[in-house]
Order: sequence, then structure tokens, then C-alpha cells
Amino acid sequence: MSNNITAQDDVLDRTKPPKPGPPKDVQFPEYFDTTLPNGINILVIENNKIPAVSVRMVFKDAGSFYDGDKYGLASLTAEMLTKGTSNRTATQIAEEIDFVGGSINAGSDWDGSYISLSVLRKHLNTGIEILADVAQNPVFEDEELSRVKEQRLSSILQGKDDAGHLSDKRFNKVVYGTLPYSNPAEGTEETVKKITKADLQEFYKMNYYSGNLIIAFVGDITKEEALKITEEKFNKLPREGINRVNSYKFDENSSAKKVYIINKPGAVQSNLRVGHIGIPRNNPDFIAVTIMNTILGGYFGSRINYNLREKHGFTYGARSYFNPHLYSGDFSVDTDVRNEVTDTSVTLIIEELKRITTEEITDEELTTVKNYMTGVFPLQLETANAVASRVINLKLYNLPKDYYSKYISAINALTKQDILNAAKNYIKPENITIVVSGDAGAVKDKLSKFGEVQVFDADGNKIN
Amino acid sequence: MLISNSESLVAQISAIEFREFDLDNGLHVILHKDNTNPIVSVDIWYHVGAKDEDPGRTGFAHLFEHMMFQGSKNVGKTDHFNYIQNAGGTLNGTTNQDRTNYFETAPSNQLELLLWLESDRMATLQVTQENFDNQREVVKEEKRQRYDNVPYGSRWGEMMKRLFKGQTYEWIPIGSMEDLNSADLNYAQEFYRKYYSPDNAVVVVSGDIDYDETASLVKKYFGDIKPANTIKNKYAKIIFNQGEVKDVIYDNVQLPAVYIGYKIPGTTDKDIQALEILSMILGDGRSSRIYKDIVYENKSAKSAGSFIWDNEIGGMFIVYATGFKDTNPDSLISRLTSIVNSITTEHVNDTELEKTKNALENDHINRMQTIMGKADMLASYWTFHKNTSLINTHIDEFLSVSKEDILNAAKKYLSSNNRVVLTYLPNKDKKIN
Repeated sequence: MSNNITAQDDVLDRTKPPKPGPPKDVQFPEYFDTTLPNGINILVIENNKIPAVSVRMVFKDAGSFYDGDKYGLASLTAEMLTKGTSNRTATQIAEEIDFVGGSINAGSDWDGSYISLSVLRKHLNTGIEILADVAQNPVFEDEELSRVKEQRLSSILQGKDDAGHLSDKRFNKVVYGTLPYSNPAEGTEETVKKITKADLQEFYKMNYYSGNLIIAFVGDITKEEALKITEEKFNKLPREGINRVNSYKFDENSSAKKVYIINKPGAVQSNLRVGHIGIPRNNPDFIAVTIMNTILGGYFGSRINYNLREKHGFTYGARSYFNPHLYSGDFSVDTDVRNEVTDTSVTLIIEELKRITTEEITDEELTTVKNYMTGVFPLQLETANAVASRVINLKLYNLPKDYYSKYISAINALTKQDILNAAKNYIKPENITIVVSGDAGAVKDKLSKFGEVQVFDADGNKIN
Repeated sequence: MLISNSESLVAQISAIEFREFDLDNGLHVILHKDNTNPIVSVDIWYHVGAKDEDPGRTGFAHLFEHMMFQGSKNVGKTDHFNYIQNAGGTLNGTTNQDRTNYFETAPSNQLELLLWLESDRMATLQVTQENFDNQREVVKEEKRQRYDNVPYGSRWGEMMKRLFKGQTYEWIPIGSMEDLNSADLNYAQEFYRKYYSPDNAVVVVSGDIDYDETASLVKKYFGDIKPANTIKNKYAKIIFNQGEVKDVIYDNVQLPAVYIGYKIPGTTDKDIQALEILSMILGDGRSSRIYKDIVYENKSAKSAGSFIWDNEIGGMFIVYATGFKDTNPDSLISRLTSIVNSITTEHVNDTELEKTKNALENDHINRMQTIMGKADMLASYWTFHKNTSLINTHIDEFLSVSKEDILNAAKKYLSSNNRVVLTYLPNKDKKIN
């Protein structure tokens, strides 16, 4: 059944782009935000477009940063939450949540530990029961732990064949120096083997408490329901945990202008990281830095991607990132290029870093990036979960409450001079570390012009 | 105007309303209004993919997808990206075995710009030698980055090469280096003329729109483009039960892995829903049969599972496992085989069946969250089924699958003489002869 519509008779002028219609006002959605006497911060991002609910538990500042010398501790603790409680075995947890078509996942990153539930509205009670159980009654049973550890050891082994993973590990180790961010969050073969049930229990006790917990309820749920659920089901955690004193001081190490190659004999491409230390998420210049980085290498139309991909055909894609954490961050340009153009690509990247720190961007570049960043803002708020992620980040990184309501005007207020200042302050071409995962035999000699070259194997041992 | 509003078993989600019509030139148009957010998606599917490539031209449909971003009569090289990014939009394109799609999402006041851009490249693409050579290099880097330099990255290419030997789907969309190197401009121009025409495409506009206004805009920009009336290549038949093929592949990997592929029919075949459910019961998630047996209880693999990969005229039922360092891959293969065989001899149980239907319902509802998710579903149901209203009723076909249907499908397709078994081993295990 279809109707035919006949084409118009008059000829269309295709030579000029059509004008946009009047723009619609974009507001960051309203959400509910309160803190209970026991310290739990409840967020409700209500949206009943589809009959589904997500619940996201976030333990703030309770991630791999606190692994100490037991690398992998935070992530193993999180992974073990769903592997058995005082009421349910690992298999029962999996079967009960799978039966209602939902999912429960737990994990961690540098700045937090997370447990999330996703379930249809009609199965919410079942989902909440299991979520509350894994969050509050994990038993860290020995047999389950040995299974998880064995899987983790195999993942670490697998990582030795992944070029990007090898580059990241080396880059973080060099760039973060004395900060814990330099350690591998997944652990090493040595540390994982040594981690015990007692270690997990200790980490759990110190880091999973109501005073650092955010629970975000997202989707088809009201704030009254969310409050009731939290008060009735999530009241078993202790109020206090570890007394956080972050005494880590970053010390400028002497890595600058050095080249690190992780040798992958026979590799057909070099995986590159070119960069240095960056900024924490709550740095007041973060928006200016983001705009500057977008022009430099943050989107498809960026200078670096245009230069390496569209102009030279050296790569499938090249991007630059400010990767921010709670206490620090890093900056890097990441790309994969064929062996023959590895050194030329590094040269082009360095030229782009110098250019953005020495010359003002053009009016056109500034207009385009402002249009882009403000235009995609509503695209990034399409689902309740996307909105929730942003609200949670405000909390996780201690950003001002009006950050998103002022976001668009903050972008529009930036000048070419602001962008140049952001580049001058946060990009240091003379201070870069160059990391390459690839065939050392094919690329080593050509890279020596950028600084002293050191070669490592996939296990991290120096081999030259 | 057709307005779909059928009742579905899934009573808790309201039906997706849409309108569809054809232009005189054969372009199919589907509109879906969702005014929740002030954004709009345009999603165009051309019914051409890797299976339409001529022998010796593998990788061409995908290479051509790259060319579609290189400028047209009224849009200069890289301007396609510039216009959309300037409008606050995001964009991309993808190529698979059966179709190539181009899509963008932008603030809804920019809809006309998106239609202008898409229609300009449908009507007047400019393919120059310089851009062609540049994108050929980009695609070769894409192949290295996503396939050649990735552990196990060759697995699906190696699987399909054997499973579909001499039949449709013998190669994957990225193609071979040799064919990419020999690809030429004339073929590109011919490919464009043949396949990039309104009568081989569907345009979906989804999001914050007005139906009548959008219908006339689509007509305005696409109405005068000429159809190609191409007769497509004939697709070689998919032949089942050709005998078991086993092979070992040495790769830059640390852990042994096995991939077993059974040949299954195409997307629209009546057995597909049963096979989908079967693959979920066997190996989707931590409560599935394969995971519980191989990973959890016997600790003989780091990860394991199964899924179906369906294409328009034939596909694969994949069962896989990644071992530990010292796992014997042959024992993995025999264990996986016996789990598969158990499902070909007796009914699945009620709990497993209900669990899987709940999961399917959950996935179905979650796919309706974004305007692009809905656009893709609408485009897919039109392109492969020629029945757009399946967006509201297809889930019912899954929910009505019986234990009998599952057993029949298992018996029909999951026998060892209908499969390819690949074992991946670390290079260092290679015996030097």
C-alpha cells in the first residue's frame, strides 16, 4: 500500500545549501537530586518514553587510584560483587537477572566503582532485589575468586598482543610518573596472583559506604518510588569508610622527548601515542581546552585527521584526546599508520601541535566548532541514560551544579585568544613523549630523530 | 498514506507510527515522527553490499562508501563533513554484505540541509582519481587497523571463505589488499551508476518532524533524480550440508581459540527466529548452556558463547570459545559439539525459552530509545522484508516460537556436515617442518 507522489515541475536550484529553520531552545533536562541522612545521594532522571528502568550505583573516588601496590584490586573487587552473596550463588544471580531479560554489571575505573541494573519496568522489583543483594552482601568466595583471577590473568596475557593496549600501558607509565594513574588498572600477572579474599573484603569495607554513594534512578520511575526503594533496600551499608587524604604529588619526570617502542615483530602498522600530562576534569579551563582540542584532533573535521587521513592517506583515523581524571589527566594524539610513514606521521603531528600553540585559529574554525559543540549538545541528551551519565559526572568530579545550564553560553563566549591561551597553557610540543607499538626493526632508526629511543618487549622488559 | 497501527503482544510499548510512500523514480520514503527531542535523523540505505561485488573486485562496495564523502557537484571535497558539523550534526556510513547506509543526526531545524546533501551525492557524485587514490590508502589502513593487525582479526574472513566457498558471501566487505590495489576509477563510476539510484534506495526521516512538510521536502530534493533500472548480478545459491571442513590458523595470539560456523538460511526465512532463540539459549550470557558448562563449571575456557550472524540470503550460526594458555583446542571443539548435539536431540526447557523471550522483549524495547535506532529498524524491514510494519509485529513472531520449532531448526542446520571449524593457535606453536 503506497501512494505515488509526482515530482514538481519547477527545477530546483541545488547550487546553494538551504537555510536552517529557526533553532529550538535547548535546556538541560530537570532532574531530582537529594541526599539522605546516611549520606546517599539520590538522583532521579525520570523519562517514561519506554517502559524500562536503569539504576546506577556509583561509589565516588573509590576506584583503581586506591589499589596501592596491589594493582587490579579495585577492578577485581567490583567484578566479584556479582559472583556470590550471602543469599545467592554466582549462578543464581546470573539466572535470576537473565530470566527477566535484564542485566546487572559491576566494574570500576580510576575514579569510582560502579554497579548498574537495566531492566524492564514490570521486572523492577526483581532487579532491585538482586542489585541490593550484590551491592550489600557480597561474600568474595575463594573458589569464585580463583576463577575470576584465572580469567584476569588470561586477559592480561591477551593484552600483550593488542597494540593499542600495549601503547596505553607504556604511555601511562611514563607520563604519570609517581601518580597511581601510571599503574595498570587491570593488574599485572604478579599482583593478581597475590590478591586474596581478605584484600577484597578490606577494599570493599573501605570504599563501599553510603557516604560516598550516588544512586541514580533513570527512566520509567518517579522520585517517590526511588526514595522508597533507597530507604528500604539500600540501608545496610556503613556510613563511613576510608578517610581520604590524597597526598600524591605529581613530579615532572624526565620523559620528555623520548621515544618508547614496544616491539611487535611482523606488525603491519605502528600504533602511536604522542603526548604528555594533561588536566583533571574540574580544571576551570576545561571547556576552552575541549574546544581547542576539537579543532586540533577531536572530531572528524579536525586539523590532525584532515592532515593524516584526507590529505595524506596515512591512516584510517587520527584523534587527539584530553583524558581527564579526578586528580590529573593526560593528553595524547592517537593513530595507527603503516610502517613506512611512521616517522612522517610523528613529524606532521608535532607540526600541528606547534601550529595550534603559536597561531590563532581562523574565524571560520571557531564558528564551525562552536556550531558543532552547541549543535550536538541536544543529540547527546537523547536518552535518559545519556542525561544520567552527565549528571553523575557533575557529582563524581565536583563540578558546579549549573555547569550544564551554562554550557552553551560558556562555549559561545570563547574567543580566538582564549583558544590560543588554552593551547599555550596545556599543550607542550617540546615536552612530548612518543610511544609506538610496532615492528621495531622497521621503524626504530627513523624515529631516533625525535629523541632517545628505547625498545621494550610485550612483557615490558627493555631489549636494547 | 499508510499509517500502521497494529496491535502487538507487547502491549506495554505503543506501536511505532510511520508513513511510507514511493516517488515516481522508485525511491521508497519512510517518515517517523517523534517530537521528544528537537533532533532529526536521516538514514539512507542503498541495497548494495559486498555480495554485489564482481569477482576480483572484493572490498569495492565499502571503498565506494568512502567515495560518497568526497564531494559532489555542489559540495566540495570534505565539505560534506563541514556542512554537517557546522550544523551541529553527526554523520557516518557503513557497509555490510547486503547494504550500504549513510546517516546523520542534527538539530531538527537543519533537516533540509541533510536532504540537500544526501540528494546531491545520490545525483551528482564527483569521483576524481586523486580522491580515489587517497581513499584507497585510507581503506587499506582501515583493513590493517581492524583486521590484519588485530589478534584473531582474520577469523570471519577465514570462516566465510570456507563456509561459503563458491557461493554468495565468500568474502567480507573489507575485501583483499590485492583487489583494493587493482580497483580503478572506471569501475567506481560504473558502480555508482548501477547501484546509487533512487530505485535501489530507501530514505528514512525520523525524529522531530511534521509529516506533510517532510514529505514535500523529500519530494523536492529527490523527485527529479533518474532511476537506473539496474538488473543486479545473480546471487549464487547457498548450499547446505557440504561436509565438515576443519582448519588450523596460526596468528599473533597468546591464547588458543575455536570458531565453529554452521550455515543457516537468510534473514527472511521462517527458521531464523527459532535459530536466534536457539543461539541465545546455547550461548548468550552467564546463564547460558555453553557458558555454564565450559567457562563456569569445567573452567576449560576463558570465554565462550554463540550467536547468529544473518544476511539476506544466508548466514552463520557461530559457536566460539577462547581457551586458557594450556587449553587443548580439540577438547574445546568436542565439548562444544556435544553441547550443540544435545540441543538437536531434545527439547529446550520452559524456563530457558521464557528467559530468552524476556531478553528479546527487553532488547526490542531498548532499541526504540533513539530516533536513529528506529530509523535503522524501519529501513531494514523495508529493505529485506519489504514490510515496514514488521517494526511493530516482528517481535510477536519471536514470542510465538515453540519448543518444537527450535528442535526442528536445530536438527535441520546444526549437524557437523554443515559446518566449518577453525582453530586459532599462537604462531610460536607452529611446527617447523
